[in-house]
Amino acid sequence: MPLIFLIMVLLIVNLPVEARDSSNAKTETNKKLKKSDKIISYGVKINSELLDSLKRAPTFFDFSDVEILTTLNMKCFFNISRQAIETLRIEMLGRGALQVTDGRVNFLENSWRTGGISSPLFLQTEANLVIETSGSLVGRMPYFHSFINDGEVAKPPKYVTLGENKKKSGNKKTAEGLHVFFVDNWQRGRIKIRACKNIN
Amino acid sequence: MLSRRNFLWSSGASLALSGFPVHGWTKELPRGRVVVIVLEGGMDGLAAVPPLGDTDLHQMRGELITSAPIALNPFFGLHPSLGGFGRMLHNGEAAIVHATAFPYTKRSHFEGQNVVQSGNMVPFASKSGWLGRALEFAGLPGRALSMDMPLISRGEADVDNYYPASIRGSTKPSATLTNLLSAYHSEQISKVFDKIAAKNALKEGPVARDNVSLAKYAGAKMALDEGPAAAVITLGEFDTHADQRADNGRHHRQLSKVDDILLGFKTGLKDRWKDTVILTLTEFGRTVKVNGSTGTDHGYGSAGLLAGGLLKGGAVISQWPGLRKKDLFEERDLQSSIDYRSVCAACLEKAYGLDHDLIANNIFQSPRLPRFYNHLFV
Amino acid sequence: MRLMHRVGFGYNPNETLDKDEVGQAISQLESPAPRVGLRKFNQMEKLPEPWPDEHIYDLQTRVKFASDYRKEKERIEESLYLSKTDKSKLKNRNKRKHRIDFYDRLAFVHQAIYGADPVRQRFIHFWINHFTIGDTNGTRIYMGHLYQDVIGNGIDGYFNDLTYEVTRHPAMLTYLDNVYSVGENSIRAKKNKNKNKQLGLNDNLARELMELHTVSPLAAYSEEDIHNAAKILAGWGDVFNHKEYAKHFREAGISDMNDAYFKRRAEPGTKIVMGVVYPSGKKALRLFVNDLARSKFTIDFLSRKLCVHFITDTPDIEDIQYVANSWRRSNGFLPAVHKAVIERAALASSPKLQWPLTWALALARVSGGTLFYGWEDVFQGVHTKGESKVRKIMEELGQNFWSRRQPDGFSVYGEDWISSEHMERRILLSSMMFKHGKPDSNLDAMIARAGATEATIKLINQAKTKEEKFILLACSKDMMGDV
Repeated sequence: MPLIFLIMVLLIVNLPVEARDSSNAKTETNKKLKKSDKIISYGVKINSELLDSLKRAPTFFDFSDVEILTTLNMKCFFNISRQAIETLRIEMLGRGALQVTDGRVNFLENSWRTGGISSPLFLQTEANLVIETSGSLVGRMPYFHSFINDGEVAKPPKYVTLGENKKKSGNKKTAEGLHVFFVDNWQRGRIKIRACKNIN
Repeated sequence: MLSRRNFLWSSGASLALSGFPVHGWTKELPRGRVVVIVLEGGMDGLAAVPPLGDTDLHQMRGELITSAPIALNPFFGLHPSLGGFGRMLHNGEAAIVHATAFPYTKRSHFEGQNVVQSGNMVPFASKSGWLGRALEFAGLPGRALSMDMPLISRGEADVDNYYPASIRGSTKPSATLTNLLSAYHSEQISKVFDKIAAKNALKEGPVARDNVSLAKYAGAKMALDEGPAAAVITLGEFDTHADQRADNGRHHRQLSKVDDILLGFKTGLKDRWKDTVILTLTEFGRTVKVNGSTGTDHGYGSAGLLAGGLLKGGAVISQWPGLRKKDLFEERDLQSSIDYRSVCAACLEKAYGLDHDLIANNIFQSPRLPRFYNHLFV
Repeated sequence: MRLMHRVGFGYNPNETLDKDEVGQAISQLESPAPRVGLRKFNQMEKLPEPWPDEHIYDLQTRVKFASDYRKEKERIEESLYLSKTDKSKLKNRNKRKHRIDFYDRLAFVHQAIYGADPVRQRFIHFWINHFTIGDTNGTRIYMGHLYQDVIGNGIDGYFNDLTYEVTRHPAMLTYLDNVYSVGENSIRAKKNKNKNKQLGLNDNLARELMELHTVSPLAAYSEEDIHNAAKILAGWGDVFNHKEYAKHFREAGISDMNDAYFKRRAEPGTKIVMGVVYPSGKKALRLFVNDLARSKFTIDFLSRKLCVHFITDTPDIEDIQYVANSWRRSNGFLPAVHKAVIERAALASSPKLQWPLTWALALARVSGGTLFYGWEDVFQGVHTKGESKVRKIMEELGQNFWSRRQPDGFSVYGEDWISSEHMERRILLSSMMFKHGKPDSNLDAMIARAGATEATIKLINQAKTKEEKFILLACSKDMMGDV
């Protein structure tokens, strides 16, 4: 018996890995790319499921596995800071206000202290965040991680993912609390949401 | 005799914009925009666009083929790091030319880059580049924006440069200071100080220098009628002799940057995307088989990635040479069955309205260069 | 432009100007001064101290560090158990332990600014550029050895010896891909014929050795010559800094990384290059390099390049012949050749625009200001108001000697450095230096040290603020050069 099991396992494991055949019609599965003596134009058509998963905006996030706290409607203040991993020093990067509507986060007026090309528009137009049932912020957003000094060239924002850790403080049924996220080898990012008021 | 050689801007990508019209005169100038993404080191066309329908593929280089290719059709796949480009292909605003190269077979980076940028098959014979010469024929000589003018953008005429500095704690010079220096120095250097003064007077907002920001910035500039007609972005690190891997290796990280650059241009150009063609340019492809260090060595045929609204798009165009040993160039490299100069020539013809014969004779010095136009453009 | 700027980095505030500038320059060339540097950017006295022994690394250690760095980096990246933050911490630790190139870069600039042998350093910089190494495949950790030890000491000897040591150095073998080159008929290649792996000759090093380092294309060698030269070079080196290859070195009994010849990888048989027959085996490279070094093409090519770099973009034939003669008479004894260059430079009145980095180092030396941070600042995240990191400054100037670049190196022609970008950066760097580098406040003394002409003094007097005066002096023809 174990031998048969072993053979079956071996057979399954040794099945050739095929490229995902997601092309047009099943009738084409027999087509092979042969050496040719003339120039041929091989038309492209990617299957729609695959197409959806191809690269999009840097703040694209798949929320299908996230339980959004859809009953949450509130207006809050926030500030964003960075903490150096080695020294634990915290520096303020930006602050402002945000609104949560049915669990989805929209940034309102905000400002960054970092200089360069940072502006309120980045969070307002590009951030893609929700509050999930554990009270944590989940999704992606732009994050200006360093200060641009006089004479230095501007830097683009990094795009960071939130929700990989549960929120550090604050209750579940509210957006309030400290949300920490990974940035790079040098710093951790922190967004603290506070003074939330429920709205109907 | 050593000729003038440019040197590389070492970090990240570098950008050169050229082909600005003379101030105020935008009538009768070509509307087209050409972007060349120079990939240094030898881009592996078989990794970027694996020919999945070729039955010899897995045997010849199975370990370097991605485990999750984007199937474009039953014949070709696309590396997943080129997702944005894949979507453009699907939407008919991109195309791939496969098994193609400049007819340069000596596999030296140094010579190879010179040949594909100068457009002259004899290395170091030309001081200008094919794009620079094309701009001159199109009535758009000179002025360029970059730290060092890459060869491809150099015309026969003199060019000047622009690229944002990053020296923390420094203050921009006042006009008085630059004027004093200009008056004091000899002619050549004096002119340069005048340009600095003129540039500072423009008061441009802050600009970032990473790939995507550069591409967006270039795109936005090119969208203007009085903006540059050509952009060249240079990206290195494709020379993966060792440890290339099928996914997540350095080669694929660079391909991912190419993808970012393409998306950046599209964002920056906005409406002008429809007048634009972007093409990659690399000195050679890589060997079909894996070498002793799980990488690949310099090869011959590669793939060209094209994007932009000017294209017919939506296809992989190839005269597939096959992967059997006897079909390979010198029994080791993907053969080139399409002269990539024809692809470059077609782009110049479409964007700048230049005649094919003029391009073949005067820009590529190759009177019998085949015309590839109809495969790419309407 | 005074001689000490043409062939050195100018006079610092403590040096005495010598009437016999030529003699002074030659003595700075011939005697290597102790290695010094600055400890910290923010220290009270800006006095140089001896370069610490713990930051002097031999080749063996460097190659091992390069390998360990890579191995540890991969281990961290591939670990499934570490959190992202832990990975960051470990990566930082890995960097601090193995990335000694940070110290190499500091040593490079500090010696130029604070050392007592600036003229010697100028010639070292010339040869470092001539034998360019780019940062590929981890060479940055051991290329410092080529710069400081091989070239740093090699300029006291003969050109053929220097070329031989440079050619077989792990940094050069790696950079120009010779570590992947294997003779087609070698034992190694034959063994792999059945394994579907790609093994063969790589022409890169052979090509550049002939084209860029020695005879130049004027020698009219053929593609076949290059190919045969590659056959001579095959066998030298294997991938130095990857754990998978360590066993190759062990099996071949190689422990001295300077002498890493693998018989199994070598192409058997004699080789003919440019009409000369070379024997099979290890000694062929030595013989080949000797022939390349003594060739008249090499002598003419390099004499010319030296004159262009130190004298002017279009040197007189007398200058080139003077240098070439001293080369021939001394059989390529570099101290004699360099002395000849200094003697000709002393007579020159033609303009020469200095390299951006040479200019920046001279500015720091002459002004007594601090440009770069010190060895105790490395990895400390020291925040200075001005930029003080070596790599960043070199990159802004367009001359990062540790960058990923083409083997032909930085142009020795002043003309190639004229662009609004380069010039603007000189102004910006001068402004940063004035504001944050604490240069010597006695501007008049600095003007005298720089050998400023009447015209320059007149220029400076037109400025209103101290900062502007400083910038004008920094960007003057005396400090920067001219075309």
